[in-house]
Amino acid sequence: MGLIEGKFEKNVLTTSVDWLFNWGRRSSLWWLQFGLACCAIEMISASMPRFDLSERFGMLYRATPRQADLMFVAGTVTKKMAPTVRTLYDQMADPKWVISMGSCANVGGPFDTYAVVQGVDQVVPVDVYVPGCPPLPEGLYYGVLELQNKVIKYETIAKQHGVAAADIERDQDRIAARAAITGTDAAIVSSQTGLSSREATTGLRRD
Amino acid sequence: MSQNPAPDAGTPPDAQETTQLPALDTQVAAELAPVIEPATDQTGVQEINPVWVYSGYWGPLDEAQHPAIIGLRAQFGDAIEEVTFFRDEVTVRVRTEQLAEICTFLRDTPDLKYQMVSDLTAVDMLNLRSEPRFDVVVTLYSIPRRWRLRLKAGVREDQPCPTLTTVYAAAGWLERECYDMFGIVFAGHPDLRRMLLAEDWDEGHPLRKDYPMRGYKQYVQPGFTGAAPRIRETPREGA
Amino acid sequence: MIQEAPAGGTMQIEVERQIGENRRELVLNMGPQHPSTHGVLRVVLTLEGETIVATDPIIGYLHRGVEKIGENRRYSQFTPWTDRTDYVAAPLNNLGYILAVEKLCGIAAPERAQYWRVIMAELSRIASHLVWLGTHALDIGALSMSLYCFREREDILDIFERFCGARLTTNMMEIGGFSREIPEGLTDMVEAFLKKFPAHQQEYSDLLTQNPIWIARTRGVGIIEPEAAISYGLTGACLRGSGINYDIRKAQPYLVYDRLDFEVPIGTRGDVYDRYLVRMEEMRQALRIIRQCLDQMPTDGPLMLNESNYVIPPHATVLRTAEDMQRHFVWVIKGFEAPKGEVYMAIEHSKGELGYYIYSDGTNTPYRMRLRTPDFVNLQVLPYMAQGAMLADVVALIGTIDIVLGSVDR
Repeated sequence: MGLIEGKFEKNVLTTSVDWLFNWGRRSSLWWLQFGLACCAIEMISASMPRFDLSERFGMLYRATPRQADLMFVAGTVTKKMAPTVRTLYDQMADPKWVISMGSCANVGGPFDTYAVVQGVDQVVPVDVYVPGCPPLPEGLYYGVLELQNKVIKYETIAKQHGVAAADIERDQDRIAARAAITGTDAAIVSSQTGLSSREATTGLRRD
Repeated sequence: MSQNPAPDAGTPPDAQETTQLPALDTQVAAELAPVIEPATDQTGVQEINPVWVYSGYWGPLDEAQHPAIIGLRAQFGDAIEEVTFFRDEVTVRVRTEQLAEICTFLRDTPDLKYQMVSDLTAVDMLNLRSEPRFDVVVTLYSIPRRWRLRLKAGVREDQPCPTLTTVYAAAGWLERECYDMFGIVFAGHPDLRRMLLAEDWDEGHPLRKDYPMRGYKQYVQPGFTGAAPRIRETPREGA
Repeated sequence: MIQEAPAGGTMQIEVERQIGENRRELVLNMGPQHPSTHGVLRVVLTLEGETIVATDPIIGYLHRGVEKIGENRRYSQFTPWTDRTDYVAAPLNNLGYILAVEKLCGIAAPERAQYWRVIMAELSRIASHLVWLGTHALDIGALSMSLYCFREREDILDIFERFCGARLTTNMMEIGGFSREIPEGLTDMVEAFLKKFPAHQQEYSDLLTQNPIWIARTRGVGIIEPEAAISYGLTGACLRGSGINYDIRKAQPYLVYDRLDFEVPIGTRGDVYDRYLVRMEEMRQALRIIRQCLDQMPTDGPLMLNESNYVIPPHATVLRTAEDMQRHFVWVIKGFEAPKGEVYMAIEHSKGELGYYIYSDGTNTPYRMRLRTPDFVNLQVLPYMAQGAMLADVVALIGTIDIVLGSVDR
């Protein structure tokens, strides 16, 4: 996608092509089978015969992050597990989305203790938060449908203008500067920091 | 109810000529007496006397009759410091140095056969007494007799406790967890390292009483220099 | 104070080493994210070819500090956290905790409440075994079993939702009984389930029990000798599969189990196949128990022990009388002060012996709340079972212990 990304001015042709890409993406989200705690059981129940999350929405679960583009973080993220969550997120290929399922993944849930990260958005950028403890499978549906509504609005091949363009330029300058300082390649730096042009909706900032 | 300091002790208060205070009280009480409707829901229909029924699952609640205590006192004498009974449970406080021998005795005596460890944990007695700080609590179960027994051994903060891995294989992970949560070192354990927390956790032992519930540090993603900002900053100190 | 965390968070593992002339060992990491590990469990396997030489299960990826939370909550507040330890059988967890608190306070629930507790506990046991069977068969390769098992489980979750409002984390048991009346139609739902389930279970049995592939993958795999089982402190199907008859419902009965007539299945060889048969039979016996409970239950009677100080006052009188309203307020806000002492109460959870050790210092919060979970002790036997097994057997072994990581790590 890098060849045609952000290259064209917005007109009816590019928005239609964008819509086609987004329609394809949202209708076949492949999710990473990554259940941590109780919400995982509800996630599994949601993909089982009564609720059938997988087949109806075109979603399929993959065990490896390389083939997934959606990650449900279902359950409590502990400090011991957090680096693994980040590694899995980094191993997923762009475009990727994260749904934070349940209170533990949203804000740490009922566990405000020494071992629990208070929300998975301290570790990975999150697109949709699904509240509940655990959320009913219908609640998970609502989250997925909201994510689909978000995906359909992406602009892939249209050129960015204004604030969005300035953001992208600033991030790229930052990556280049960091690469120059540390003496590594810009590609390595960008994968380490997880910055991409499709940036997070949370306040996760780095320097 | 108001006490009537009657000068005349023989007559009941409401029969004698009243002073001002009791009459007002009874009058007020009569006016404000609540009207209680009979409860029409199903709870409270019968009178029940709550009473804990002795179940016999831990053996006879008498030192002179419990075979394990008799055997222990005969074999170990003053290593058995104290025997307590609560509800139907039997707790024996023993001297820490002989914990492994006592467990071996309990396991191997044909009449007792406490072959199974139900639980091995510790209690931090910091708020209740000064020395020793920890109590290692071992709950044993005898399959032929169907009895449980609890042993307690006091451990000071820097003192190692003898391991039970030579006696019961189940003690391996239970003692590791004790070490992880409390910092009690078990002398002779083959593989004492942290289990429930990360192996390089350097912030102490969480289940101690002086450890705050929220911990000391906020989570920092490896490779980043600071924690991610939160919408509402909650204070770090305090349990 | 914010400090920099140590970089990484992963462990340095030596990957391959030469140990002899023509022998090499490979260290393989079956990491925390793996479709077959039933949660976040890391198993570091040392292999020699396809044979396993050593196993090192590393847990703690879901350690949430429930025991520390227990020291800071009142007795009536702690029940939701017990749900979240073993989340596939939440009512059983609640039951263990509530029975321990009732033992500490020296009270017992009325008879009708005890029968309903047994019914909910046995339904929860069936639900837990269905999850076990579904995931175990899924790991070994029988993919359709998971779909069938979760379909039946939805019926049980409907019953739970009708009873207490939640499917998974139920928080249904209360100190002293149940504070609200049984919803109407619940008995019919349970009866309908009892009618429908045996046929389904026969389906599972037909699919797996005589299946040559299933037998080839599970028979003779993961044998635990009886002496080793006792020494490792195993309980539940892991112990009974090896031939030891220890079921707390028979050995130290609680609630009304001494009035009910059921059998405890015992295995002979101690391999994965025997444990599978034991758990299948436990499901059938659970149906039998529920049937007897529905028949034997008193038709009326209180569900809550209202005269005790340790129990929440009934809803109707709370709204109408001043004394009960004050009692309710004090009970909720300040909590009751439990007697001083320590109790250990063990129940037969679907995975083994679930024990709660509560040390009370006479205040309204426990001084020490210890959950002795069966999975934690049972998982210790994995290296023993995996010695000499093949790599492909590891998923069968992890499945046969029947672990739920919330319960292992607490």
